[in-house]
Amino acid sequence: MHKYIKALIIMLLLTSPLSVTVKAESAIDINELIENAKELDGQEVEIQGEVIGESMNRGDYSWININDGTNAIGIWLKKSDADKVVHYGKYENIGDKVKITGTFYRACKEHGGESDVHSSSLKIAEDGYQVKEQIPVTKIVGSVILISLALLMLVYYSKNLK
Amino acid sequence: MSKLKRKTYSIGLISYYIGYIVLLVASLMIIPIITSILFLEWNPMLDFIISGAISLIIGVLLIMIGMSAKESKSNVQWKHGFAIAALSWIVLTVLCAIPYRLSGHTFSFLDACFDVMSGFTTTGLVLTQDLDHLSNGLNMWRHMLTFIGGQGMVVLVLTLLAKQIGGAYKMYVGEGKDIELVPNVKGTARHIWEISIVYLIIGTMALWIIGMLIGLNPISAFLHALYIFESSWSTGGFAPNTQNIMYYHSVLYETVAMAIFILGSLNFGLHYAIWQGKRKEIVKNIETQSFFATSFVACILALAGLAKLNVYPDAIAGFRRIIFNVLSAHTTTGFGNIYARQFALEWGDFGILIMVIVMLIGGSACSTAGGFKGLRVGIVFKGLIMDVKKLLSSERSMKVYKYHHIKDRILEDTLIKSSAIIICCYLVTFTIGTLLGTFYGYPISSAAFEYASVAGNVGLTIGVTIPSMPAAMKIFYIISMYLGRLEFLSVFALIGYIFGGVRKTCINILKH
Amino acid sequence: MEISKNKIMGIVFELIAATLYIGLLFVAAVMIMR
Repeated sequence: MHKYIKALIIMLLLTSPLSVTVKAESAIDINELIENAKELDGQEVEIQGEVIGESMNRGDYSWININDGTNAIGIWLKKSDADKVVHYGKYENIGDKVKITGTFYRACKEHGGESDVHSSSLKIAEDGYQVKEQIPVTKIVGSVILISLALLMLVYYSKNLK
Repeated sequence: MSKLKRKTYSIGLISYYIGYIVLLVASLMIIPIITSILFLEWNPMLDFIISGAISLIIGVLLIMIGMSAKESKSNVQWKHGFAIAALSWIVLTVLCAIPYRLSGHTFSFLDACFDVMSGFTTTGLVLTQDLDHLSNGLNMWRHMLTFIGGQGMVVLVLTLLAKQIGGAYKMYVGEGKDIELVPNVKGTARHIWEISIVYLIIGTMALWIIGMLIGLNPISAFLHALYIFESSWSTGGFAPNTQNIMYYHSVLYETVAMAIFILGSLNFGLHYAIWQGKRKEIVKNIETQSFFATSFVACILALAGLAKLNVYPDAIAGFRRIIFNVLSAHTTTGFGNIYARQFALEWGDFGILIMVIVMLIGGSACSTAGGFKGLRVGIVFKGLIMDVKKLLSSERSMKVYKYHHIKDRILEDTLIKSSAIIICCYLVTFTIGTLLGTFYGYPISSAAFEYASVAGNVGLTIGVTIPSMPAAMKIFYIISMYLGRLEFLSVFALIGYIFGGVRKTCINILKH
Repeated sequence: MEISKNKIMGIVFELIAATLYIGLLFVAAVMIMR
């Protein structure tokens, strides 16, 4: 009896990895999403990442682009949701980190075959912020030295021309 | 003049002209500097000041070394022209990589050089990381490089330093542009710039307005318009976004960019002819005929093949994801509106093979595009037909076969031969490049796709070009982008020149 | 840079030609991907 129970347990353990259908329980990397695009087409997924650039409003709905470090993807969401985003990622600016639950489309019919996510809910996981620019002293010193050198050379060169 | 003196003068002349080119490109760094100041980006501003200063110093040094040679009024010969064009690209690649490296967005100096070479050759493959957080200064620089590279740096110099440059024609041909718009080369260079600047204004305005229509704010709409125009016209393919042109989610934006890159891939001589009123040229020209034929067939085949696999749901998706990408590849632009891995995972071998073929064929000669060039494909094709006809016709008929490229020209055997030889050079490097990829374990379709993208200066990626790529491949890709852009001859001439010199020096040493 | 009539006509011509070609390709897409 024990043997059969053990065998059953082992079988279940061995087959469970094969039957993974990713459910919206934990966030998935965008790259992983793309790798498994065919399987995940039309499924509900959860992704999280930094909102970058800016939102692009198209009537009642908007586009935002999020970058999770592996890749970036477009999120089609209600304008009211998009407006929740305060900080957008760009130079020296970290955008809000958002958690998006929505339907992934490998080749979205509504959007000309694009791989995108139609958001059903957006949550701000972490606020973004502006990074204070830090200029290394070596850079300042280096540039001063180099500019002086360059100017010296120009002067020497123009003198030689005459 | 003694042999040693002549050699010294040769090196001096080359040094002098490279120095001038370096100074010119160094002075262009003022544009990213101003951009960074406008956006209060202090680190990038300093990065460019440092790079500019270093370039200035080196430029002046090179000029001073070559000063005596220039003054002795030595003749600039063909070998000098090729050497100057070829060497200046190498020197500039290193100097222009400095701001990239200083920005911290590249993992190594090699990666920075890769991106610069990718920009100059209007390839568009990217190793720079985190494009979404790049400074405006660096973005301005990247896209500028591809715009300038598209014109050709030598062309840039020729336009501006008209009086000082003797032997201009030889440098111009050294850069792979051998069409004469106007009898004198300086005039030709000026016309090339004029055409590009006019389109720069029109194209940027168009994309700016559309950018705002699709939801971008005015400032970013303008910057993106400028960047995307520069990338489209030069058939470069850079974008200020990780997602490339997918960022915009707009069929209008993509289509306008497509129109720009199609026009940008056309021969400057063609533009010039049309602007002079000779509008029939667009149908008579062998290159437009070749491009129309190959691109149309490729699109049809791709549509059919991918429809069979049911990759895309409808015609609009087919237009946006298939036609756009096939044309992007054929014109060697490199804008991608699907993810790199999707080519490998969804398009299947047939689709990938079509892409490889169109990437190798490329665009028009004397344009910003890469690849074999439609002109050569057309010439070899017509040459084949000519040979078949000759075989079939009577031995006594002395028919002259012609083709039309700006004007009617004779289809001579030497021309067919040289076209075929260059096509062979591309195919040989293509084979080596693909072999190299498979050696490192990449599947053959990926290795072939990526290398075709490199050799044809396209820029689409199937996922091979990433920072962790073997350094040997990075180096081979850099050299290939360079070879492809300069169309082999300049680089071979340069190598021959260097080796010839080394060999002679060794012989001299052994004699004494 | 002189602004001649030929130049403007030339630019318009090229833009129209590019648009027509793109249009043709779109039609091809519609026909094939029914």
